[in-house]
Amino acid sequence: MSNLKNKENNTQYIEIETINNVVTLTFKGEIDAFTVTQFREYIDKYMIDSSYHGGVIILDLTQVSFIDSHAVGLFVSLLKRAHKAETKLVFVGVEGQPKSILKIVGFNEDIVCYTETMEGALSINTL
Amino acid sequence: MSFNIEEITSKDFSVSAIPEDVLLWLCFDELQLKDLPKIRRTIQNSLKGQINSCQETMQSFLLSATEILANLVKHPVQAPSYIGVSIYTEVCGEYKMLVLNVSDNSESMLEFDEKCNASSSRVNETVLDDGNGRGLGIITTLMDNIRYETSLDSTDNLNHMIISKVLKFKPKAQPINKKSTVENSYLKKHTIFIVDDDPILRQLLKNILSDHYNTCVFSSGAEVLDAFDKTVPDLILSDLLMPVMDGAELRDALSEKEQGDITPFVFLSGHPEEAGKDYINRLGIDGFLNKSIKKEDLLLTLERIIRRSKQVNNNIRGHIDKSIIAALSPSIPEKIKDWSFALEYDIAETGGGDFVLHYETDEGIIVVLADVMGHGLPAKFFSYAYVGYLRSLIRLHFNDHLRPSSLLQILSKNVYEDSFLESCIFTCQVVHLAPDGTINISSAGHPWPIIAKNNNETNFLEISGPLPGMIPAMHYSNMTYKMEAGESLFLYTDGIIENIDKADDEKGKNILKQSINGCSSSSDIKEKTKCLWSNQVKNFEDNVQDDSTILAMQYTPRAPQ
Repeated sequence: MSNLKNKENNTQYIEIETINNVVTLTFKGEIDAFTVTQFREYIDKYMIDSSYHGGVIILDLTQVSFIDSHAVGLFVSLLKRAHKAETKLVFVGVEGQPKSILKIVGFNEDIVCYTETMEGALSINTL
Repeated sequence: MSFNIEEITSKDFSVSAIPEDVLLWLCFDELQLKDLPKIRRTIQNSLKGQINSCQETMQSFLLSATEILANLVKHPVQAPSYIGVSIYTEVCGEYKMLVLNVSDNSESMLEFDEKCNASSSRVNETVLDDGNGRGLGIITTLMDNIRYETSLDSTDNLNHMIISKVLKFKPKAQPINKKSTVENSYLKKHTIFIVDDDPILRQLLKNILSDHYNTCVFSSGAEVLDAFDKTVPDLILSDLLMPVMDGAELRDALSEKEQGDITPFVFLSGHPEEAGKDYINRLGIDGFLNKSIKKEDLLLTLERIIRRSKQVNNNIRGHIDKSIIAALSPSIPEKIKDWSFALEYDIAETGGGDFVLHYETDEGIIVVLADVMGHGLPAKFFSYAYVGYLRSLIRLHFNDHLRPSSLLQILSKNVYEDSFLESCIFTCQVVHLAPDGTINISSAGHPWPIIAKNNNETNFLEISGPLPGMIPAMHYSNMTYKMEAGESLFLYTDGIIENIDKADDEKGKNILKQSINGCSSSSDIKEKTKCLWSNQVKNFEDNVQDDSTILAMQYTPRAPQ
């Protein structure tokens, strides 16, 4: 398990965990232009494409209160990686402002999966 | 600390300001991305008292400010040494408008101007990987109005990104001090270009007018023409006799430019006898003033001309809006073959555009309900374009053997590949109605349709599909349902659900479903739809922000001979 805490403010972080072919990215705080730059670097370093081929990429946004277009850009790039690796992209715990933004830009259930809990997300891999 | 927040509350703001007008004013001489959360929280605090009950508007403002400021930090040609964020309210008829203005002195925001004119709001994986362009698209979708202005005045050499949202509540019942509004909010001042070859007269006019207007002074017609390409003023006040290019030649040259011929133009001359000359009258100017005019008369005349010009332009624009809206009114015959139809709709002036299409195939009927997302006139125009496009597509491809999902797949592929079509988001539902009562339905981002059975039971048809054009080869599924005689199918657009419960789609859909049950006393589809409309939608008409449409169809086969 790897995690990155924002040096300025440790209420913002990302954690990456890979078990079998399921990679879970847990975000906390607000995902905006500032945090995305760090998250991207971190994801590029620790998210290995071969480790989730045919499995699931889980984005846990349970603790995320705000996203902007840079976050959407990050999710689009993860969606592209998921497509290439024949992997499902699953959002967990998306509520409030992040939910409205994802809806506006068209991240609907036909493109990605949404579940309320991590258990729900993990069960998708067994389907 | 890398930036300094100067928060001016209504209490601290200069005495002459209207207390409710300015909610927040922040100034920075340096800005970094890591400061954005702190700024968001400051904005949130300043808005709390005003729009406590309107979380969505609050979120829209927080996001818009973040997007614009991030753009200033990430893409400057030259980093700005001044950034201002102000939030104020404007009274707009009987509603209040909440306005966010981000001003800066960089030269990097000019691209925003172009993007504002072609604002887009859809995700495209091929170009949006780096996050470019989507921010403005999201703002456009969330906010009612967005504009970009530059000021050339040496005392305020700033770019202004101004976005606004009409609040749903009516203004407090207290008198609005209109005089103060005009005099104190420099952001709302009109801009006047002053051109005169005499430096003393230029300075004099600037001194007289700058308390009331943003003024830009020029010594020649050539300078005005250059500046006009960057900023269109609200009025041009020009000397008549100038070397190289005189006032009449300047007027002529401006007519060649976009908006040049509709920008109010006033001559200020020391030669009043010129006013009566034919060539002056043929130029199409708005006034001819003598240089000896009194200050008060000059101010009154300019104010009158600007107001009249705005009034005429607004009336023309309103007329065009109405023509487009009228042309887009959804319609469908009450009876086609063995099917009866009923339609209720409300076209919002600010929201996106809904439209309905039908096409009779050899045996059946194809019906399309679509909703173009976005705000204002662009969304209406896109709807207009889509109606024609979809009609041609259906005629070209559709027959009784092609499933609605295939039509959506073709549409999605074309949207993905076409730069014009990809510039706006739309949702769409296609239904094929067969002579034996079988319906075949496919959906692209549209809410679930509702079936009203003869035993008063109502059920969702849980058919969904992605928005068209998100990936190159989109797959859509079909749902087939065999309707009994008398059963009805209800299609509707997002606007209905938003009107019922803006915060909770699921709740809105369920209330709509129950309401169909509540209108089951009549078997006539027209009456049933009217009942549904008046129970669930009409009550909200005052606040309609998006087009709302209910399209109902009932299987009414003729009795066998």
